[in-house]
Amino acid sequence: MNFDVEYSEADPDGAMQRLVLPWLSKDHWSTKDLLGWIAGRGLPPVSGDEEPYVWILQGLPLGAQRHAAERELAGRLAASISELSVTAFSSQGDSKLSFGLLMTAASLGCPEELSAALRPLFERGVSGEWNGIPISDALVLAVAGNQLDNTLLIHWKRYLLGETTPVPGSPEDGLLGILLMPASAEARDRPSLEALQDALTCVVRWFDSAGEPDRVDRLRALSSKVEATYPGLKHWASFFAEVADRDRWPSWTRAALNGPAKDTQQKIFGRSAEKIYWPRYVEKRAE
Amino acid sequence: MPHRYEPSIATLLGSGEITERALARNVMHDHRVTPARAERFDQVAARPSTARELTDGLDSYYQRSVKTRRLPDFVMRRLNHENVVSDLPTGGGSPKREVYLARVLILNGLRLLFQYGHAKRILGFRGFSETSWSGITRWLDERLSLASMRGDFIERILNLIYLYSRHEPFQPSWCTTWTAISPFLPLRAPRWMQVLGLSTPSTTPIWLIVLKYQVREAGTLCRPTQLDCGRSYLHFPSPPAAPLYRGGHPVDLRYNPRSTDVIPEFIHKQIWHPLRHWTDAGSRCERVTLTSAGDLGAQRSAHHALLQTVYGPSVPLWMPACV
Repeated sequence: MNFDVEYSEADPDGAMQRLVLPWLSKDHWSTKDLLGWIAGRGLPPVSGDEEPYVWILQGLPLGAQRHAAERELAGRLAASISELSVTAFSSQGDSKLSFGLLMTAASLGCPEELSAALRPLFERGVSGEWNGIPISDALVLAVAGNQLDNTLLIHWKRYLLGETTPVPGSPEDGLLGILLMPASAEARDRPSLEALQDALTCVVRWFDSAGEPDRVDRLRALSSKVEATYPGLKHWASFFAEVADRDRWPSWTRAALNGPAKDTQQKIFGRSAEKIYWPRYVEKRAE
Repeated sequence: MPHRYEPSIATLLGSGEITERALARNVMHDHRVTPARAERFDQVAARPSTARELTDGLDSYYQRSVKTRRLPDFVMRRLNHENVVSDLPTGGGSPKREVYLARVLILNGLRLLFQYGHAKRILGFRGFSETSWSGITRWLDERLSLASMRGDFIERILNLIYLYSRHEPFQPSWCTTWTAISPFLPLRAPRWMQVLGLSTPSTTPIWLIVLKYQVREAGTLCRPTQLDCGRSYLHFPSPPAAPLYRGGHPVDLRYNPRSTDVIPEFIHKQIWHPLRHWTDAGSRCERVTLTSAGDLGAQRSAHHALLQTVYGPSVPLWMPACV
C-alpha cells in the first residue's frame, strides 16, 4: 500500500513522515532500517528530548491512512522482535533497542500483528533496564496493549495477588492488563467489567495494606485511566461508587473518587490562570 | 486585564443578538485554544478591533486553516498538542483503539457534494439540480424511501464523500463515542440530533444516517475548540476541570427536562467511511421532521448548569455567564 506524506515538502514537521512512509510503502524491506531508527540511527534532526520510537510514531499519517500504516508497521515490528535472538532482550542485549521495540508495540496496539511475537517474551521473561526503567515494565505495557482476547486473565490475576511470575509486575500492572483485556475475542471494544471491579478492589486493598502515602492520588489517576480508556462506556463515577460500596472500600478512597484533584482549582485561578483563557482573558477574577 | 480583542468582545456582548453574545462568551472562555493556534488566528484575523472583524476572522481562520486543509491545524502536534486525545499510549490516557465512535450525518447538507457528483457524471448523482433543502429532501425521498434501495445509495454517497474530499476537504469530522449515543438510538431520531447539538436551518424534513467506526480508523483524535467551528454559536467550550480524554461536550438542545449527564465530543480528519460503518450502526437511515432549533439562551443556560453539576463550583468561576 502507498502511504502519502501529508506535509508539504518544505515543512520541517514532515521530516519523520518523509522518512517512515516511503519505507512503509515499499514491498521489499528489511528489519535493519527499523531496528536502526529505534536504536536512534538514521533519523532526521529531531529533538533528543524524546525516545526515537516516539519520533517514529510521529511519522505515521494523521488521517484515514493511519490505521493501515500502524498495522503495516506493527507487522514489521513483530518480524523485528521475532528475528532478534533471546539475548537481545537479556541483560547482554541492547537495552535501548529492547525498550524502544516494546514501547513501539505498546503504543501501536495492534494485537493481530503483535500478540504472537510478544507472547514468548512474556512467558520467558526479559531483563535489563533503560534510563532506570526495567525492560519488563515495557514488556507488560506491550502485552497488555496487544491482547486479542481474555486468555491472559490468569496472568493479570497473579499480579493482583502479588505472586512471583517470569515477568514481574505489581497489582497496578494487573489492573492495567485487565483494563486493556477485551471482554472476549468478539467484544474487544470493552473490558470485562466484573474482572475490572475485582481488580480495582485488589489494588485498593494493596494500597491500603502497603500504607501508600500517595494512595489517594494514585487511585485518582487509575480511575481517570479507566475512564480515558473507555470514554462514555459507563457512568464511571457510579461504577466506582458501586464497587466501593459493594467491596467496602476504606474511607480514604472517597477523596480519590469525589471530583478532580485540588490542584485543578489552583490551576484555574492560581498562578497559571493566564494559560487557561484564550487569549488571556480575565473578566472577573475569583477574588 | 483587558481582552486582547476589545472592543470587539464588548460589542458582541452588548449585542441584541443572542447568537453574538454566545459567540463572544465562547471566544472569551475557550481555554483550550493553544498559544500557538491563537498566534495563527492573529495572523489570519490581523488582531480584530471590531465585532465584524472578529467574527469574520473566526470564519476566515476556519475556512483557511481548518475546513479546506488536507492537514488542518487541529491535527498538527506543534500547534495543538494539548488537545490531541490519541497521542498517549493505550492505557495511559488515550481511548483504546478498538473503542467505537459514532457520527450522525445529515444528508441534506451534502448539496455541493451531490452537485459535484452530477458534474462528474457519477452514477447515482447525474441530473441532481436541487438547490433548496426541500428539493434535496424530495430527491433523497426517491432514493431512500424504500429500505431495499438504501444500502446501495448510501454506499455511493459515502464513496462520493471520500472522492470529493480528495479535491475539496471538509474538516473536521465531529463524533462522539458509540456507547455514549447508543442509549438514545432506541428513541426517535430528533432526540439523537438534540443530544449531539445538531440543528438545521429549516424545519423541512431531512434524511440522516448513523456511522459507527473504531478510534483506530479515525487517525488523530482531538478535543475541539471554537477555532474548529468558525463563528458557530452552537459550540460551547468545555471547562478547565474537564479532562482531555472526555473531549468536548455538545450542548443538548433539549432543556426541559434537562440532561443529567454530558456526552463526549471529538474531532478528526475526514476519513473514508465504507458501507460497513453504516451497517455496523444498525443500518439506521431516518427521515426526520424537526421543530424549530429552540431557545438558544435556555439551551446554553441548561448546559452551563449541567456543567456545574458534573464539574462543580469551578465552572461559574471559569465562565460566570454563558450568554
